[in-house]
Order: sequence, then C-alpha cells, then structure tokens
Amino acid sequence: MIGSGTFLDVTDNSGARVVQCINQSGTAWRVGDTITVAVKSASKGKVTAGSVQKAVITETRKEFKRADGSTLKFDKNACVLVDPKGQPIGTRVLGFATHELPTVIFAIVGLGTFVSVLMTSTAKKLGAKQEAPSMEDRMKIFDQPSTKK
Amino acid sequence: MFGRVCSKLALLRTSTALANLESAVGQATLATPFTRRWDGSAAPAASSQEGEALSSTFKKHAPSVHNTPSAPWTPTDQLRKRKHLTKRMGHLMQVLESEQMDVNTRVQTFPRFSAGDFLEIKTAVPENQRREAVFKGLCIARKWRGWRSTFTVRNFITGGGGIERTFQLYTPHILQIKVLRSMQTRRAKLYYFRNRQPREYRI
Repeated sequence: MIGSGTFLDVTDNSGARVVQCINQSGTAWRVGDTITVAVKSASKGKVTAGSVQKAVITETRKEFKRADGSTLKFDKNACVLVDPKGQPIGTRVLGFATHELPTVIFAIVGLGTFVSVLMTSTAKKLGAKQEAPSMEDRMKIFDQPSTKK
Repeated sequence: MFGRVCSKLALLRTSTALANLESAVGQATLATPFTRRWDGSAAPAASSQEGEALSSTFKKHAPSVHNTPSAPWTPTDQLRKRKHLTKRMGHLMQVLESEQMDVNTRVQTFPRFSAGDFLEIKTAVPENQRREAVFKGLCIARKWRGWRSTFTVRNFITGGGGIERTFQLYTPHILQIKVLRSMQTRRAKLYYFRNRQPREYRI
C-alpha cells in the first residue's frame, strides 16, 4: 500500500537510490502499479537526484493476494523506474520481481534477481527444468478412483 | 423414558413383537428396575445375564444424549435437524469443505511439519504458466482451519531482502513439501523472526 509521500527503494541500476511517491493522495497503490516519484538520492547513473520519474512498484510491505488465496509480502517498499511510455530506464532488476509486474519489466529481469515464482527465459536457455504438467492434467488426478483405503 | 417403555411393553405383552423380544433374551423379567446410564442406555439395577442382554437391546434404540444421529442417516436429516438457516448453511459449508479436503488429501500427501521447520515447497502456479518453482524458507506459522488451513514461510534472499509467503495448504498448486531441517521452538507462531537477524532464519 504505497501512498502519497511514501519512500521507496529503487531496485534497478538506473542510478536512483531512494524515491518518494508524489501522486495525489486519496488512494493507495500496490505491486504492479505505476506511480510518479521524485528521486531523493541517486548515485552515478541515468537519473539524477531531484528529478521526477515514473516508477513501477515491485515490492510492498503490505501483503498482496494471489488468486488461490495465498499472500505474499516483502520487508521493504521498492520500485523500478520507467519512462513515461512504460519502458524501464535501468537494464537490470536487482530486487524481487513477481507476476504482478508488467511484461516489459520481465525483459530486464536477469539471473541474479531472485524471482519468487518465475523462471526467466535466460534461466530456461541455460537448461532449466521442463514444464510441469498443465493444470488440466493435474486436476484429472482428482477424477481418478482413489487407491487409498 | 424407560419407565414408560416398560409400562407400554406391559400393555403389549400379548403382541408378537414382545414375544420375539422375550424369546430372544430368554426369561427376562421386565419388572426388573432399570437405571439410566450416562449415555442414555438402560442398565439393570442388579447385574444379571438377562438384564445385560436386555439392556443391550434397549441400548440399540436408546436416545443419544449428545443428539448424534443414529445410522443410517441422510444429509437431509442433518439439514432438517437444524432449524435456523445460518446453522443449515454452516453445516453445508462444513460438509463441502471436508469433502474437498478429502479429495485433496487423496492426491496430495504432505509431511508433518510445524513452525520451526525449514521447508522446500514446489509450486506450479498458473501465473507462471504452471512451471515448477521452488520456494524455501522457515515455517513461522501454521493456521489450522480445516480446508482453509494455511502456513507461512519466511526467507531472506541476499541481494533481494526478506520475503514472507502464506500458502493455502489445500491448494492444488502445491506439488510437494519437503522438510529440510528443524529448529527447536517454544512457540507456535514465530513472528519474532521478523525482528531478528536474517542469518538466523535464512536457508
């Protein structure tokens, strides 16, 4: 739940370190939402401190729900900077990336990033495991007669 | 209750049903005083062989003190028994959830684990196009609510940070749970690890 005034850590290599959400107050935003931020501190990189950027929230301390009812939460609020069109400014995501993020962000998710549930295309190229059986095939097991007592 | 039964039986002494009953238990005397047991069955005041046999016959048809249905019973009986709508719906929910748990446990068998166990969970979620993914961490909580049971796993990834994930126990997305090792705990919920150093709980 990121609101107006929230400080977020930046988990990409765009140069920014800490940003502050400067959206209009009244609502709160979650993982995957795009917000407007003011860069508070930055190291040498593509963005400078004091600039206004757009960011996609990648991590929140407030838990978010998945469709099956499971929840997920992180220890910090973090984001990744994007340009007004939505393309990421940095070239690597250094923190967590979840399925709630837009697809363009995943293009820059590398092997070094721990992705909570996704196997990146790079990992697959390096000989990752085969796909698990589809959900339909796995649900068919429930239709089989039970062999247990 | 049994006083009335005895008096009724005395009235129906000539009926065939009673004759069958008497022949079945031998030379039982219905005049034997009966005492009520805690479960509603009848016990003879003085223990005798015929008395014991008779008490078992009455026990079969004895009303249950705890209001459990006597077999065979039907689900509609259970619904009819409950006079209030919310109680009927509550019973329906209970039955549906236990049926679903039964279906899941036939397919998924998980080891016994509790808070304090380091787990490795294999999931295949539709968001990931059903690819297998592994999530490791320390189980810090287990919530026992029947079909709605959950467990929470916490881990710290170097370079990423702390992550806490709560899984629904009976979701078909969980393929396997493995217990890697256990730590001794004196609590059921280990939320204090949120304030501890990551080296204590990361895996």
